[in-house]
Amino acid sequence: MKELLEKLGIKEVNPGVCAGPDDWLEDSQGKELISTNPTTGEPLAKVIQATENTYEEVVSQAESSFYEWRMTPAPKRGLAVRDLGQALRDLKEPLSELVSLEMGKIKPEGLGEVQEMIDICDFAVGLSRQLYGLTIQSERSRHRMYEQWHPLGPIGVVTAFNFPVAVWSWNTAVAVVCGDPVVWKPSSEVPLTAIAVQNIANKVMADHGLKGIFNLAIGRGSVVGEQMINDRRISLISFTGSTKMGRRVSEAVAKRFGRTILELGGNNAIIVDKDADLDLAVRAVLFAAVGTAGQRCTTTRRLIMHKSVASELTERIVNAYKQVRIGDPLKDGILMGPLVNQAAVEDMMGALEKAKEQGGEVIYGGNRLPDLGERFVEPTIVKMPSQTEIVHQETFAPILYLLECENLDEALTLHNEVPQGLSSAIFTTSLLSAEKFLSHEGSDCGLANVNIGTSGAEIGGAFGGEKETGGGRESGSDAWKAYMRRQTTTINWSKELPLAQGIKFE
Amino acid sequence: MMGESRVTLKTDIEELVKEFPESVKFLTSREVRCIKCGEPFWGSIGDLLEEEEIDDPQGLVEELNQYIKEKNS
Repeated sequence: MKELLEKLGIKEVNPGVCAGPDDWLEDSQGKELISTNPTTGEPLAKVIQATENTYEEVVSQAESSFYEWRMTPAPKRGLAVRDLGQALRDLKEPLSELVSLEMGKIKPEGLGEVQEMIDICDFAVGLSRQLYGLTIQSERSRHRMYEQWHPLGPIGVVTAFNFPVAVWSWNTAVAVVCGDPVVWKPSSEVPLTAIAVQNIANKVMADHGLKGIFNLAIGRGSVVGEQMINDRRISLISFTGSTKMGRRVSEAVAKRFGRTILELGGNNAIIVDKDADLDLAVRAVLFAAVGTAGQRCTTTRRLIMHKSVASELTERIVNAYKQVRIGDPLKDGILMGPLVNQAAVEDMMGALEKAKEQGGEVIYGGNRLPDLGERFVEPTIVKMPSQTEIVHQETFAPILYLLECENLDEALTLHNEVPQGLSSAIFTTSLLSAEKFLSHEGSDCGLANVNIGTSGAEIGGAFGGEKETGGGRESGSDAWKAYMRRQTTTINWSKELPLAQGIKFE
Repeated sequence: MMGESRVTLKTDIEELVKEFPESVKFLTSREVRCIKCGEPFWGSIGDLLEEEEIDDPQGLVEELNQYIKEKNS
């Protein structure tokens, strides 16, 4: 373990604030944060958290760097992101191992997460030679109208523990080619992965003679988070977390007319219709409900089954759950690691009690696994009599609620009844059912899949959801537009001054 | 951190869930979810209870202290 941490530049005690190569900031008033291994509960290393002073220093640096960075041509900005991608390729193995060590996801998922970082860097490099604006036909003779996209300003990126590095990269790779420095506030559960990534970014900045483009401020939400969302210098806050916190972030940023990208809670369902390929459905449900120990925003939390397949599907899923090997996420063959902390275990147990009070029957799992460690639990299946209040809530744990329906219309009603709208899926071999699910009378989510589970999105598409999921979009497609300022321009190359709408002002 | 391990309305949720994770289950039983998406609410328990429009926040905190005491005795 020591060797791994050393390889990634992590010491026993680390400053948690950084504004560039050789610019780690420390304040004697900064409180200590101990990062622990969720598998064993043992401490990994310590971090000195940001204070108001060090936060101020880092944002000042990001602001002054913005004025230079915005004048660097976008394709040249892309070169820094190209090198970031290359540095991540070089360190893919140790970084993914640290993700698993500190967060608890299994090694293949850790590798997948770092691969996502590499992929979004590649995407952003291509984007750096695009960032297209439209040309629009003017109603006036010898006039030209077009849109151009300008850098926006320093961006605040607040990430959650469950994707400790990928979500940063979705935002940062795109923001940086758009001309915006980034100040990152990672989850307090996973500060070491953030320090490792900052070390990688520092090397890239040093190679390019840069500072203040990739910045880090590790600290509590009530300190760094609150300061950041109320900071007028931060043009955009990209926040990943709960609906409750998203509302708070949104209100604070709106008060100062800043922008937000909100990626909030999900309560994702898979509908399995009467004509579904059950072999596919079982495999998809297993990965989507149990992967990352149910701690993905896109985890399948509800399974809505046509009553004609419910019995067989339930039996097959229970059998599949019995095969899940639980244990040290760094060991080969393990499919499920621990929950991130003790509070998450308590949250899961509290939700299960509520589900039982509301008529739910635990048909698989439901227990802690103290022999493995205090943060280990069984993946759990709960058969619900109806979509009760607890099923409307997102519990960040491997609980799958089973619901039955008579037909697709009822399935869609159940599906869309919850306040969240992130990811969704249907398993069907009927073209008509698939198209209905994807239509405007179908799923109300930002992500809608056919014969694929709810989790495991690719970076090329825009990621995000509707309703209480917040409406933001990150990563691919045209999500970059949120990181830039649109300017509509009209140029008159005539010797007249015609007014729009034919107005005469003479 | 919290003196005699006593929770007050001013206690940060981030601190609370780290020091007394059992609080999460207690609060859930009272319809207050203090961690969501695996991340704690930013701010104090007083802020959270106000947001949840709990009638008697001080009373709830007293009950929470009692619960923690029993769990740890």
